[in-house]
Amino acid sequence: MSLTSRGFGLGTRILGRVARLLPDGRHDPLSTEPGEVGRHVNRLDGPAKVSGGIRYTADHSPARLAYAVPVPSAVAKGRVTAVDSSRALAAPGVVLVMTHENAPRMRRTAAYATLKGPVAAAAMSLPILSTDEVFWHGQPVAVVVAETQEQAEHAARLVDVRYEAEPAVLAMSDEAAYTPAHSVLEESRTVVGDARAGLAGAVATVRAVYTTPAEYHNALEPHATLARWDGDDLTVHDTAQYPYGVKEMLAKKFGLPLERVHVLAPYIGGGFGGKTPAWPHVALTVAAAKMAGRPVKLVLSRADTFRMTGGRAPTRSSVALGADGQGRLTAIVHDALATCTRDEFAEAAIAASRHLYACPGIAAHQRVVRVDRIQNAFFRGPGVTPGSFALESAMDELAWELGLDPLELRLRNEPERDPISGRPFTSRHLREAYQLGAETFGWRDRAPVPRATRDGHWLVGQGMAAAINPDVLLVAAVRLRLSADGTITIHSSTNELGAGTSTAQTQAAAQRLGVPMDRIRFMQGDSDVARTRIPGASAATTTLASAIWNARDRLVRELLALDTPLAGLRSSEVETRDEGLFTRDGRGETYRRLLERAGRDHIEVTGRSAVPYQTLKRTTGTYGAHFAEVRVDADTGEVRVTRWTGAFDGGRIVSPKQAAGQMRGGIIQGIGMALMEETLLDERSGRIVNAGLAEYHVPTHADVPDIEVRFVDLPDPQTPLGAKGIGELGIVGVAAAIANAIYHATGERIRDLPITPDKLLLREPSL
Amino acid sequence: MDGHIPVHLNVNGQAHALSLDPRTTLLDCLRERLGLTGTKKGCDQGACGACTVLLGGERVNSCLVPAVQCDGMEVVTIEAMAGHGLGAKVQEAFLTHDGFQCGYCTSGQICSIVAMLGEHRDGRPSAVTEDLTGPVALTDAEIRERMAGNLCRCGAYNGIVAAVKEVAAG
Repeated sequence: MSLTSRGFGLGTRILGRVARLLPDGRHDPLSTEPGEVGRHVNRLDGPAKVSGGIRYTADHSPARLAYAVPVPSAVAKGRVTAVDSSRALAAPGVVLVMTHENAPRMRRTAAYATLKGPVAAAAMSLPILSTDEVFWHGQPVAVVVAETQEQAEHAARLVDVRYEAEPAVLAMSDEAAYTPAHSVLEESRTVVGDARAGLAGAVATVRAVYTTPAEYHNALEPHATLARWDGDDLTVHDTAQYPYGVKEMLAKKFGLPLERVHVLAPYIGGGFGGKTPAWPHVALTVAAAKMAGRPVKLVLSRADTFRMTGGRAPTRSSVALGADGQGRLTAIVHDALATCTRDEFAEAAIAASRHLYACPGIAAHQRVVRVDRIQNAFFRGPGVTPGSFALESAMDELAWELGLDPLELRLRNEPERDPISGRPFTSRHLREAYQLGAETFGWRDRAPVPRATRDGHWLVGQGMAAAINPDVLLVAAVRLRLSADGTITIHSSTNELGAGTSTAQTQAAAQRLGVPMDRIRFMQGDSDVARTRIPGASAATTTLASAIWNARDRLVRELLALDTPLAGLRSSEVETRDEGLFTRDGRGETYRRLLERAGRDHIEVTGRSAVPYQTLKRTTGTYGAHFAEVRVDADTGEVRVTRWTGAFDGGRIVSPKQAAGQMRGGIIQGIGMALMEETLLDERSGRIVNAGLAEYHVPTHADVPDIEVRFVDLPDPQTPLGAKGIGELGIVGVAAAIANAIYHATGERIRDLPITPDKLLLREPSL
Repeated sequence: MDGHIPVHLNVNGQAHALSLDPRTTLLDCLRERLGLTGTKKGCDQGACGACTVLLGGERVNSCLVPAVQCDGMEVVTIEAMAGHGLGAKVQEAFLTHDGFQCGYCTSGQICSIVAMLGEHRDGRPSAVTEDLTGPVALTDAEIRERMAGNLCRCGAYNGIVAAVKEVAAG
């Protein structure tokens, strides 16, 4: 184990101790108050979305626009020895060919995911098109700019690139594995109690190896950047999940003052983590626009989204579990391996094993292997999603060993405190989620033995698994403007990915300020509003709510300072309700009247999210339980998911209609992960073989049953709105629930994802 | 321009006389030449359905159709759906049933549904239709099969199927 990983572990423990001494923050009264929060409402951006009226990044076409197409490298590692652009330059409409020989200077920026440098959004620290080095197959080695997309695509094929190839490391093997400094803020190696003794003394044990392949987000909107220079001012439309981070990165890369860079990303066509970091094409588009002296748009082709942006790293987990005769866990051992690149982004496949079950002996160890592939990326539930496939499959195997219902096994091992740190939870209602899900699904009716239900050529089975995801509050600020007509506009540097952030925040802000929803406009996606660090992590709902809460308090103070009959009252003496400020005994004025009396056209305040002391000193997470029914074709090995119930503890649910949709979305991506999704890499060349939606399969309408979603819906006493972030939770545990259901249907245990028909057929000829 | 081909298109009831690079797809023609950006490019290879429009009344992946092949034809895109009786109903049902999240596949889903309901009305079977002799009920399985060419990565499929059922039920 490296010194840095020891240092991280020690640091975490010290911080944990110190955190106990922190004050408790304010309890949010909104968390239990009825109102707009918790109401079923339609998406506010719905009418624009169903009429094709939303402008996504690639929909902008300013005057004098030129189109850029990147040229992918044909080797996985080595150097570019020569680039012959002459044929491309001679092709009709070509404006320029940018290579490492003529590209404008781009300074190195640290990779976001490693958290080793400033937290700007750069996906990687590698110098793309700044040197002749090639780091992976498909890396951009040139960019062609032309008058039209067709001309650029044609000319890109005419660029002749010569290489000096070097041997590349492409396979994930044990040999070069090492322990990373940290695994996305989880300790890479943790030992609690004596897991070895726990295994030795166990009545039942399970030891198995589980694997998950590299997977891609495949948001339907491909990554796109449109860059425009006006002198030293740079305006960039981008598909960024983290606009402020892209602003910081571009300022650094091009040596610009922060205020000169404007990143606009109000609407994103799906992200799932794949648009959290800025991949190399973002800076390359900016560089190309600088060279061209005109606006340049670069939209990655679907194939390029595989080559030039990263997906989920493949994982291999060795899991050993032990339990006593009462079904109480005595040991959890989880050794996980994943890939990373020169930038050490290590996903914590061990995360679920550290936080899900009470157990006296836990040994969790995450290792990584550096490979010469495109860097891996955050993908919905990074680490915890593939790792939970291993743990939750192993728990199912243990239940069969013990002769216990897998739900009962989980209920017997539900912890009272965090199993690793011993800290209390802010709230944890997994027990309630298990019960709610089981009742809704009808879990009790399940056959007690595998392969017991047959319907024609279909073998029918049910399986379940738990879900867990760490919950965090990050950093955000909003600008809130109260206008003379009493309407309120809230500006934010976050964006709308489809999660429903703008609708949920409008609901919460309406209740916070005591106005109807139609008095509030939530404006998003402008990096210049305020420093906002919500790159993902399911953190938007609570973090923004915290910032808006602060903005509300500042607004109240400003209003009470005006020359009105309320002047002199303290903030604590008024409530924000009925579209204004009122004391408990009913004295007060509407916002509109207050501004009118003071002769003010508007008031603008900035609200900043609070330091989340409550969650820093406790363990905070979201939880859930999946119950799945599958039918397996006994002749072909085809698996159909036919029934689903997911029950979740995400604190108080702010916008239930959209929250349910988001959980379904996670479950459907999990169905893809379980049954079809896999990036195929030619380990000789480093080429991704199935770089397209015709070959990389994601679930279609025909693959998805009705999915029932239930929420425990109990407020977390420690968070803004009583809410917790649920964007990633839905996918966690899904693959295991399906694998467990397949075992119940067929008696076959498949431990390697995806569970394609060949794996079932090869295992059992009689299936 | 050199090598360009004259093309007449009727898009959403409006006539356009264009001179097009023969490599231009109907999708890029709509988006980059006519500014009709409601139609989206998701894969540019006919695998995702985000670019679905109606061409001569039939649903097509506009990324697979060279624009010069559409000479003299009628194209209907999402921008015209609000004025299209069935299209407006589908749009409304999408709002009610939350048939979308990020919205990127939505234009294609809606255009596809409008054409699919027409195909069903005309008695065309799908791959899951068992009885080819009589009228086909628009069951969940039929809707899912007929819409399988329109991917939604956010996973709004349940809402979309509910929206189709509501519209089909009148």
